[in-house]
Amino acid sequence: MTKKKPDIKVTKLTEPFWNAVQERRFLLQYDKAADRYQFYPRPLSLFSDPGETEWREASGLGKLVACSRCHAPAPGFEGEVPYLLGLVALDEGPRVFAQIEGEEAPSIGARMRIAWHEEDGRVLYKFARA
Amino acid sequence: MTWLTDREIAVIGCADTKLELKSGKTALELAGAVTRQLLEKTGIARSQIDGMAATLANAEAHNAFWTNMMADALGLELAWCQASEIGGGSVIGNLVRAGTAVHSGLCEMVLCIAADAPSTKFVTKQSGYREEFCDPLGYGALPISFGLLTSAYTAKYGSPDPGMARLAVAQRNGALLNENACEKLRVPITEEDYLASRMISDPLRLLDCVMRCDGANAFLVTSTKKARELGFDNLVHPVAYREMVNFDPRQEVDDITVTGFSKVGPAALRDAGLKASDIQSFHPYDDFYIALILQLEQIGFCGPGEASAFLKARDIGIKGDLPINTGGGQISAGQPGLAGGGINLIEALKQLRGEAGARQVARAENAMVTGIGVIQYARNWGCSNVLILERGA
Repeated sequence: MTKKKPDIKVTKLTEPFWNAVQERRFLLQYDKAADRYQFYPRPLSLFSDPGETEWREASGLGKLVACSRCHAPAPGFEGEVPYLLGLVALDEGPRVFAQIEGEEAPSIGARMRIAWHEEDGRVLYKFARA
Repeated sequence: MTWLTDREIAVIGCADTKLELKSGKTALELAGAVTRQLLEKTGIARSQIDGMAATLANAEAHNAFWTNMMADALGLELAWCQASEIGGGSVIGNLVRAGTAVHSGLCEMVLCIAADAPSTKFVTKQSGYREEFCDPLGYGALPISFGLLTSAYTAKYGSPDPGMARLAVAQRNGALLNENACEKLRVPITEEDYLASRMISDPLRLLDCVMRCDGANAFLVTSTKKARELGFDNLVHPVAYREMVNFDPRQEVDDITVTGFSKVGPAALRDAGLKASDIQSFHPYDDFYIALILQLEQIGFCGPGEASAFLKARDIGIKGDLPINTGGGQISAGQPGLAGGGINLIEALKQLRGEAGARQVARAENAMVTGIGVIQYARNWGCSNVLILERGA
């Protein structure tokens, strides 16, 4: 039996990110002083002191750095096994964890793009071959 | 840290319980059992123990007063008490934290104890990025992180399967000789069995993965001076220890397979005045075999990408030239949750104390033990620590 997929535990800090996801935009925290991006969202910049950040929209493009075919699903994903999970290094720098579309794993280093999908009334992100 | 290299700290005895799957016991009951065993073995009275360093427990994670409750259950009055929360690195971390407390004069005799029963009760939650940016996107469990790591390693260096198959068989052979290993795991396997085991998070297999079980381990730490005064002559000394928490927070290393061991491994060896090739037995933290591949390379036993060939070229069994996880490690003995790091450490202590019975290695002047703790977002693991032990003169 397929369980319900886990809720996304949105916090005050991450609310702008998830609101943008609903509009199919992927936001990163940007540190203007250091000219660096970070993900996942943190309470302060990793790159300069005192650590101011602002939100900037990412290109959604990057390269695949790791990919695994998952046979042990998360709750709610039982009907989808096996499915691909991966890490994509965005062109802006940070790595992002997400599902990878398709059945065959792209080769490591492949160019990837963000792929939006809607389920249970919410928009979520995966990556697909660019 | 001359107080380490000068052998000013000593472990005077150790104990561990039989590892059991779904024991039905609480972590406190297991803590009591291992403490009783340790007191019997060493002859130390509880009134002589004035310090305690514990790990947390998956089975007790809802209790914010866990160590105080444990002290009360065990009947200990303490001048110093702490819990380490560096995940699987906590047990070896506790040995040196206890040494620090003894060295600084806060206490004299420390019970280092780790007890957990995650196969009976599991109440730990991993909040933060895990619940927000992993679980809702299909992240089921830890094997996924290690499957991802294996894929990145394989793309760079080729598959480490041949070396990991050697590890799987060698550690299982150790568990067959280890009466405290989980009975479910005390079944011989071949390299073919390892390679044919089903994929969990491809390229990571079932026989790459640790199995959670229930159990406890403990040891006593005091000053070498005090140990001698009390008449103990079978001593093990921590001579070097390095720990790194949250390696590479800015993702400046453009390679997720590079871990904190690349820093702490060489540093600990340097502190001890040893080369990796001087280590007589190696007891690496083993939640997944890919973690051993990375440790062998990054601590300096071999070069990057060479671990699989290294494992095939060396004999890593009990009678070999580099015995690894001689009691089965966690993968073949079982992982008692947050007490898991003690599986590797207690085995090293038993080897150096000459208490390993049928598994006794020939060369037991020194040993290296490691710890791994906590999984990070889109990198590898959070804590890497390395402990080098030497047998007392």
